[in-house]
Amino acid sequence: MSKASEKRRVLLAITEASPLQDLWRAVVDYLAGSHGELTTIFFSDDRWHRAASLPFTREVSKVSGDSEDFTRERAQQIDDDTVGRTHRELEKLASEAELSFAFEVLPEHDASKLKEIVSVQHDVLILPSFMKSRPIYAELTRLKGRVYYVDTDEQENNDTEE
Amino acid sequence: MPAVSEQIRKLVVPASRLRRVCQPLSKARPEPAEPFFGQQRAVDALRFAIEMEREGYNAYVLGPLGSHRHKLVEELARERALTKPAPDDWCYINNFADPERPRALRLPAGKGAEFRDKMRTLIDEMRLAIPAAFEADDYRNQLKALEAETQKEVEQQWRSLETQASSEGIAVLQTPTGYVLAPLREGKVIDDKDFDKLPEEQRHEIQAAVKKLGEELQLRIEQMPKIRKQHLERVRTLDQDVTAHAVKLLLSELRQSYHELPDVLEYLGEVQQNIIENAQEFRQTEESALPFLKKDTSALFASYDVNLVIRNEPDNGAPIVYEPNPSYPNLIGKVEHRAEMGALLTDFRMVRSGALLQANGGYLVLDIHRVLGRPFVWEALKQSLFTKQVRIESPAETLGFVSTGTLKPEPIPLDVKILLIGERWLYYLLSAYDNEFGVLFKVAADLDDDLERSASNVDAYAQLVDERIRECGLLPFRATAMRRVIEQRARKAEDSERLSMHMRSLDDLIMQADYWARRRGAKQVAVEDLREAVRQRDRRLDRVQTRVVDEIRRGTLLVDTSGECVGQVNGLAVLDLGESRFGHPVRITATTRVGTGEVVDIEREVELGGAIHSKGMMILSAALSSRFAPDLPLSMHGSVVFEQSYSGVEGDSASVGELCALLSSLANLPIRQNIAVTGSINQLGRVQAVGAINEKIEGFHAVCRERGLDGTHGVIIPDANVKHLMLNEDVVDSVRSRKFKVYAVTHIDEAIQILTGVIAGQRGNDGKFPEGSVNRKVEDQLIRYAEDRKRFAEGQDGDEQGE
Repeated sequence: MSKASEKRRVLLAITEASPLQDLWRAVVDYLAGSHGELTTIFFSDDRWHRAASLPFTREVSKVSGDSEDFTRERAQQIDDDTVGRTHRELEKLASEAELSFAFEVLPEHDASKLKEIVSVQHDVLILPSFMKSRPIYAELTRLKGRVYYVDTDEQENNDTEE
Repeated sequence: MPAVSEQIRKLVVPASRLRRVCQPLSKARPEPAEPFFGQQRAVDALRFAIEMEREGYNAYVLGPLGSHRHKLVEELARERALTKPAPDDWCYINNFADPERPRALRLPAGKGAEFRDKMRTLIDEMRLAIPAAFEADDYRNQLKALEAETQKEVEQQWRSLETQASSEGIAVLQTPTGYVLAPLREGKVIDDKDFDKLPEEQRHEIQAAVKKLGEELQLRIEQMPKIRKQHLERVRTLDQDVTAHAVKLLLSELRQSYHELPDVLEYLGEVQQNIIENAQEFRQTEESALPFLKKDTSALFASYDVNLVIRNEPDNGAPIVYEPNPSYPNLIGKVEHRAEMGALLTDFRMVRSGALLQANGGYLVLDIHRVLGRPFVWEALKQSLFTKQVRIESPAETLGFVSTGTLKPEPIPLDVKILLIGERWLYYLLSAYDNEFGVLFKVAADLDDDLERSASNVDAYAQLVDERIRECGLLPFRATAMRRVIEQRARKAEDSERLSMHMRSLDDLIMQADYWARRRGAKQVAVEDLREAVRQRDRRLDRVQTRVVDEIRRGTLLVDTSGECVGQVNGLAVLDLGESRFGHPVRITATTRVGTGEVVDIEREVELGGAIHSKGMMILSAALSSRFAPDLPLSMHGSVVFEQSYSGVEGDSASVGELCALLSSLANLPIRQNIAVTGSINQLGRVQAVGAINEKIEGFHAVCRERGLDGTHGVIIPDANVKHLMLNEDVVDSVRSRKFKVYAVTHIDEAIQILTGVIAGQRGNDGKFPEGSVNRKVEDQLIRYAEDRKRFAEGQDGDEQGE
C-alpha cells in the first residue's frame, strides 16, 4: 500500500452483476482515509440489445407469465435503468465516504475508449474476479499498476495480483 | 198520638252514639300478630297464585295506595321463593357462525360468573401461550424446513428450465420484471446479423426452441403462485397444529370443569376452532412502529368474552324483583350501542337483560299503572308471557319501524310469576276491555279496606299498631293513646263498627303523634299527641274550609242558622279536595205552582247535576206523586235548586232536604233554619244512608258554632248512618252540653216534623191525613192545583167551543 499523504488514483471496473458493496469496501480500504481519485467504469452488457435485435424474442412477465415483444426500446430502458441505479448507489456510497468520483459507461466491446482511459496512470485497478473471464479483461490488465480482485464467489480472502 | 215534640225528642241521637269510644284493650294481646291481619282473603288468594305452578296463574293485587300492598306481595313471595331452587344463570355468547344472532347459554346458578371469569383468564393465557408456542425451536425448525422445501422446489423449477435451455443453446436473461430467451453462440447472445448468417434450418430450430422454452417458462411462472400458495397452506396447517396443541392443552381443564354441561362443551369446541382459525391474530405481540397500521385484535379477543346477563346465587332461592320503572328496556332488556368514529356499533356483549329475565324462575312485582303508562310495555309483557320467552329487541324493531341491521339475541325461555299491584278500577277496566288479561292473570287478591270492629279484632289491631310502632321506631303509646288510635281508625273507615286497613294513613297518624310527643319531651305518646296530630293535620288542610265558613259568617254565602223560611232548607254538601274533605251547609230552595206534574232540577237543566243527583230528583218526584192525592194527576210545577252552587253537584244525599223544601212550599209551612238535613230518599219516602256523614255534621256544627250555638241547632241524618258516626270531640261535647243535636230519621215524615215542628200525619181510615198536619196541607194544595189545572183546561175548552 502507498503512504497516506500521496494522492492515489483508483480505477474501479464494474458490471451490472458486480457486488458493489464489496467492491466499494475494497476502494475505501485501499484509500484508507487518504485523498484519492476514483474513476469508475461501468461496462454495460450489450446482450439486451443483441437479444432485442432478434425478431422473435419476447419478455415473459415474472408475475403473470404473460409475454410481449422484447424491443430495442425496452432493451435501452433496461440498460438505462441499470446504469442509473448503479450510479445512484455509488453516489450514495461516495457521499458517505466523502469521496468524489468519475463515472464512465462503456460497452464491453468498445476497446478504443477503454484504451484511452487505461492509458492514464492509475495506482490500482479494482475489479470483480468474475471479469477475468471477460474479453475486456485483457485490455484492462494493460494498466500500469496493481490489480486488486474482489472475489465474487463469497470467499473470505481477496487475492491480489501484481 | 204523642205530641210532636215528644216524637222529635225520640229521634235525637244520644251523645254516646255519636262517637263509639274504644273500650280498654285486652292486656293479653295475641303475640305476634297474625301476618297481614284482616287481609285473609287477599293473603289466601295471593298465596294460591304464588304456589300455583300453572300457566296463567299470575296475580293482580287490588287495593288502594298505602295499603301495604307491596309489603304483602314481597313477604308472601319471599316465603315461597326461599323454598324454591335458585334458577339458572344466563349468558349471551358470540355466535361465531352468525355474530348478529348472539346465542344464549344456560349455566347452573352461580356458575355464570365463574364461567365468564374462566373464559377471560383463558383468553389471557392464550395470548401468552400461543405466541410462546410459535417462538419455540420446534416450530421454527419446522417452519424453516417448510421454507427450505418450497425454496428447493422453486429452484428446481428454474434450474431444470435453465438446464434445458442451455442444452439447446438458449440463454435465460433476467430483466427487472421478467425473462427473455435468446440464442447463444460461444457463450454470447447473438444479434440479428449473426442470426441471419445462420442456415435457415438452424434459424428455424432456434426459433422453435425459443418458442417452446417460452411456453415452458410461461407454465413455470404460472406454477409459482401455486407453489407459494401451497407453501402458505403448509405454513397455515403448521400454525394451526401448533395453535391447536396450545389451545387444547389450555381448554382441557375448562372442559373438565363443565363436562356435565353439553351446551358449554359445544361452545368451548367452537371457541377452540375459532382460535385455531385466528391463530395469526394471537401472534401479534409486538407493538407496531406505526400503530395505525397494526391490526386491531381487541374485537377478536372480545368475541370470546361471556356476557353474563342473569346471575343468581345458589343459596338465595328464587329471585323476587320489583321494577319501579317498568319501561320497555327496563322490563324486556335492550341492546346498547357505542359510538365509534361516528358510527353506532354493538355486539353480543352489549345485550342487557330486563326485569323479566332478572326475575326468571321467580317473581316479578310491577305497578300496573306504571306498566300501562309506558309505551308498548303491556303488550310486550303479555307477549312474553304467552310465548314463554323473552326476546330482547327494541320496540321499533318489534313494530317494524326500523330496517337497520342490529342484533337478534336468541330468546331465553321464561318462567316467571307476575304479581301486579294496582287500583281496583284498573283491574275492572282490564277485565272488561282486555280479553287476554283474564287468561294471563287468573287470580285477583282483593285487599279489604276495613275490618269489623269486634273485640278480638280490636285487640289484634292494637297489636298490629304496636308492630308498626316498633318497625317505625316510635315512642311507645300509652294505653289510652292506643284506644284513641283505634277510634281514629274507625273514623278513617267512616264507620264506628269497622276499622280502616289503610296502612299508610295509620303510619301517618302514629308517626305524627310521635312527633308531637317528642316535641313536648314526652317519653310516651299520649292521647293529647294524637289529638294534636289530627288537629294539626286538619289545620294544614283547612284553608278552603275556613274560607267557606268565613264567607257564610260574613253573609256572602247565604246560609241561615236561625229563624224559619218557607221552601228553604239547609242541605249539607261535602267538598273532596284530595287529602282534605269537609262538609258545609248549602241552601236548598224550592218553589211550587200549578203545573203538569214536573219537578225541575235546575242543576240538571244547566248540566251542573250529576247522574246520581238527577236520579235522586226523579225518585223525589215519584215519592211526591205516589204519596199525595193518588187519584188525581200531579198538577204542580216545582223547581229545586242548590243556591250559590257554581260547580257540579253529584249524589242523592240532598234528596231528603229537597223533598222537605218542596213539602214546605206546598204546605206553606216554614222550615227551621237552625237544622240542616242530609239523606237520600226512596219512592216510598224512606230515608236511606249517605256518605261522609261525619264531615257533614261537623261542617254544619262549625258554622253554627261560629255564630253561637244556642241549643236549637242540629242536623237530621238517616238512621242508617248512626252506626257510621265517629264525630269529633267538639261536636260530641256540644251535644253533651245540649247545645247541638243530631236527629236520626227513617222516614221523610220524621224529617219534616223536625223541620216544621208540625206533625206530618198518617192517612186515617177516611183516607185523609189529619187536619193541620203537614201532609194534609200538602195534599190539599195538590188537590187545589189539580182543580185549578182542570178548571184551566175546561176554560180553555170553553173558549175553544165559544170560538
